[in-house]
Amino acid sequence: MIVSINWIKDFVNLDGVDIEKLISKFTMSVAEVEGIEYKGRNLSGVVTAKILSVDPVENSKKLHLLKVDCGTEILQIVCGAPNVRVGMVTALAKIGAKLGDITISKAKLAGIESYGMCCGGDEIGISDDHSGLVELDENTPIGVDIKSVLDIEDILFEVDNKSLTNRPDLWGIYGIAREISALTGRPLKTLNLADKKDFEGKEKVDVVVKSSSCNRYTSAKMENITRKSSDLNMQIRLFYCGMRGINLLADVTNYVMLELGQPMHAFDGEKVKSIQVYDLDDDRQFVTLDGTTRNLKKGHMVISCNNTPVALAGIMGGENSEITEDTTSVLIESANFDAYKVRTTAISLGMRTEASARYEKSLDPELTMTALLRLVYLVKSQDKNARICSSICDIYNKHYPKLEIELSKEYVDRFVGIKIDEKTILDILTSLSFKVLENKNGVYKFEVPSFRATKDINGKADLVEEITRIYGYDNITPQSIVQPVKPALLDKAVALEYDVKYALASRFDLNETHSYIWYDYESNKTLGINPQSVIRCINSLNKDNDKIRSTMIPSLLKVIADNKGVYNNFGTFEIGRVVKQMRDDNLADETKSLGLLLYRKTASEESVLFEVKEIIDYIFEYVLKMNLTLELSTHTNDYCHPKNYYKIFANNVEVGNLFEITPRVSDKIEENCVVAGFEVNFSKICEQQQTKTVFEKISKYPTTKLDFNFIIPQGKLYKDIISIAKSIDTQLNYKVNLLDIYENANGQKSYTLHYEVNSLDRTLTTEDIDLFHEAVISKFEQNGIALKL
Amino acid sequence: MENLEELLERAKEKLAKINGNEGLGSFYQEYLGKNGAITSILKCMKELPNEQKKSFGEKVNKAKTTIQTMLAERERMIAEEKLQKKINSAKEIDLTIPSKVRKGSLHPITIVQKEVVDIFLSMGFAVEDGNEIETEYNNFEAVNVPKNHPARDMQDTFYLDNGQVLKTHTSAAQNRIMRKYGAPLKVIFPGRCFRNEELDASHENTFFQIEGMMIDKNVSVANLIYFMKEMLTNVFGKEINVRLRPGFFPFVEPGFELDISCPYCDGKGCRVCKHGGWIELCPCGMIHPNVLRMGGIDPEEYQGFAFGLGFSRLAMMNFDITEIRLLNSGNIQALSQAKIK
Repeated sequence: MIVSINWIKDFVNLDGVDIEKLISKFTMSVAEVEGIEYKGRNLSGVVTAKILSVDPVENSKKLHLLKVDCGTEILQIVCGAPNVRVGMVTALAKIGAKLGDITISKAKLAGIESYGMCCGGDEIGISDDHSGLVELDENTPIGVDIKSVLDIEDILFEVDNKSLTNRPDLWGIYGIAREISALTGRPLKTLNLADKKDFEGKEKVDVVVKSSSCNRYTSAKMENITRKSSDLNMQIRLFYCGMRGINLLADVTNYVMLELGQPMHAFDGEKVKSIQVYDLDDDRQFVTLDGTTRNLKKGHMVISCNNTPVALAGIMGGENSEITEDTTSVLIESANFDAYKVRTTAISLGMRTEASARYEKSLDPELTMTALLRLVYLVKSQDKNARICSSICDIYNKHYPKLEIELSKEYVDRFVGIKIDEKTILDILTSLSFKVLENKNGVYKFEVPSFRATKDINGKADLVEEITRIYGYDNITPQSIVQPVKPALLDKAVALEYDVKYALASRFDLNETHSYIWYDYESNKTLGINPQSVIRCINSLNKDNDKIRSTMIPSLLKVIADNKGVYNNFGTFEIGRVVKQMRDDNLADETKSLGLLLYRKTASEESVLFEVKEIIDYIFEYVLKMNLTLELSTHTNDYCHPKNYYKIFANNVEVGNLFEITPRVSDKIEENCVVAGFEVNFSKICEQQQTKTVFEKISKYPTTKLDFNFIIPQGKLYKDIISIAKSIDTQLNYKVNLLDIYENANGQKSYTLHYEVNSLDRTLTTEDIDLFHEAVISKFEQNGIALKL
Repeated sequence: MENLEELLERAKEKLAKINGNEGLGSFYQEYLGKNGAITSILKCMKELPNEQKKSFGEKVNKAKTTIQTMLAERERMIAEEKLQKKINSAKEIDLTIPSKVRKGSLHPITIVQKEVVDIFLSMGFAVEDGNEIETEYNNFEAVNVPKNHPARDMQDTFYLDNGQVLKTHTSAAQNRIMRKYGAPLKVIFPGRCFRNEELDASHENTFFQIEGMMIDKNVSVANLIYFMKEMLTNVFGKEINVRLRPGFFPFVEPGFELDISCPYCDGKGCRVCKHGGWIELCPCGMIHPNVLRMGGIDPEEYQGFAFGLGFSRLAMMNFDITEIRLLNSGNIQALSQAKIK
């Protein structure tokens, strides 16, 4: 919203006030100001002047040769404006005048010298009208600076509309002026209104309100309106504030809306003589005054006359009752409509007007009467012939309850954290029109003004906001807090998440990336995969990217495909959210998932799978501190290789899988590359117990080392062999690990197992070692595994 | 019997010719061993008249000590020569050649999140996690945005086909956290949020925030300013001034926009702060009584502040990233510049 300082000055005396400082104070205490614009500063040398004669110019259809009286001399001017006439008072830019970046100099037009330029509204920046010269009142003194006649000089500031969402009272200049009065400590002047007495004894406008969404409807009629256009200064204000002059009645209704925030409507009094407000009971078409046909729906609220809609309530008037050049009488509407009703209707029709934007903020219904009286006052002051020809009809169906709030000084101090004295508290609230109803030893009762009570102010905290923002947030000294000291709880999932990421990036040279929670349709299509999804987004930006992922792997495959041109060998991971299933109550069963993929342009499948294995081993042993087991399994998805697909168990609970990407997919990324990785349910992992490390006793006696070569039968997994190797019948301490794997040309495998044996209490004898040796061999023989000879 | 002087002379010559440990061994045997020269000379002593025995013995012992000293000296020299040779033979190495190229990296968001989380942990805030898919109730109603409230216009929401939403702000977790901890509480909760808007250099539909809440009997606006100032000073590693402006957010009352003095120009005015010296950084405020009530906390007894900090924005400021789209691009070449700290 654009605010004119000139307009504010109608209501608050700003003499001697630094306007820039005031505007920055406004930002700090009321709402964000997005920009300041200085109007008229770059205009000079333009004076009022009277056209004395108008003569044609040879060889030109458009141009006229004028003699113009500029007060001090008579100048010859060549002018192309069509509305020139003898006796007209207009704006003349003399030689040397500055109109923005343009400096006026002596010029030759059609071979004739011109000593200046007569100006249109756009040229002096007071409108966007380029159709003709500015026409000033005939009684305007000649030869004076145009700025002394018209309010061209002004300072405008634009307030961010979003920051006014909750302040219906600030959608008008008068509301802003009230804030400025509080900020400057200067009084707020009252509005000049028509006298209610002037309406008495006249016939009432016939208004019937049937819709429950019309809170108040205030109306009156005027007649004998003879003036067609509004005062130039009024038009300038409208233009500066983003509207434009149209005709007297349209301008005055707009002016009142901008000034008070109350949308007004003027119906042609000849066409609309009575009013009915109701919700439509059928769908129908309606042409609004912008000439557009609207498809109204059952339930939309309309203003009708004799059962013919003449306006879409709170949004826009109809073409059929619009004010025209011939209008001399008018029926004025000043109404209060339900915010939600106006908003939903406007949204359903795809319309958002200045009026609907204001109504949807929940306007104060008390305002309708003030606005009506203000409008009548303005019409009469612009057009002396205009007459009031009805009494006021005021149907007030829904009042907001009077709001009273109790507040104690103790609460203010506690809430703000500093002490604000009583006088300051009371002065601030009074300046914002809050009424002090009671004051008992620092406990106050305030009445909230009606224009703040529609939704903005509800309770004590709201009053504290009023006090502190005017007091100045900058005047609050930051303060630490006195509290018992307690260790802070770090969510296990958050802590483990970082530790895992750190290990993956620092130890395994992997890159963390982020992807969207929905599948990328194009990427999946290119890779020929169709991963499962159990929930979709109904208003996604791209209608194809609507499926919420159930696995991280497709997102990671996209990263692999996007980066393989840069790196021959790399890996990426992400801890993201997936939905694998819906819960019984139909809510998404969202889990955190860690997905990881390695890409090797040329490598053996085995080596890449072992790289993955090394990573997951490290993560489980050193970061998660959980027992990891893998179990060969099968799957049904379309991106994993059918072979070498392992389920991952953490402390015997299934948490994910480890796999190679099938060449059906990976060959589409890069022929003969190998992509392998794993995905684990990170939420589930975080539920598992972490192993507590317990120190074992280390023997101080010598350790004997023994190596055995066993022939491994086909199909036996290492995990089976190692469990045999760890179940030797002996009293001695021993450790065993795999030293070497040998595979001969026939594919027969043998393992070299390395044992370290000792005792905690003595040096081993030859006999001890022989017995241990035999125990190992016999344990393996029992399991059908022989020594390699 | 050999003359002692000659013996010494001979030993000296011999020792000089020895170059290895083995030679030293046999030298020892030859002169100082059980059957060595010194021993055999001593054996002759018993044949001498008693009055000569003492001085002879002294002479022999002196010779023995001399040989021992010579031997030790020679031993030291050989060891020294060996070391010197080893040192001299060392290769000259160019250590300006890079070691293994490391390319692992954390996402910029992870790095900034860790930093901020650590700061809050050190100030006693608990750290919580939240969902990305939320109920409408948690995302809107529970934070004082009832149905039909125009505030729902302010953020375009992704709706799912089961009626849930992709959470539009971390505030969606407020209700659950208040119910979990009760009052008093001091919690932060980072999370990923979603808004249905078109992508451009400064708008993403998927972005990160971190939200914080502190509730106790006397938590005040002055405390809010204090914690924000401390946290931001630590994040930026330099003294940061903060200022509050009025801002409207349905879940706080009063609501503020928090500006920080521009950390790039220290408030003097630069490109980043658009020459104003201040940067709008995060919405915050005192938790609305309705929000406390819905979270099961009595607003007559307790009060507190909440703030929501845009993480994506902070990460961009931290790494001088000009395009927000980079964060979700999966472009490893660009993202890996963040390294791991």
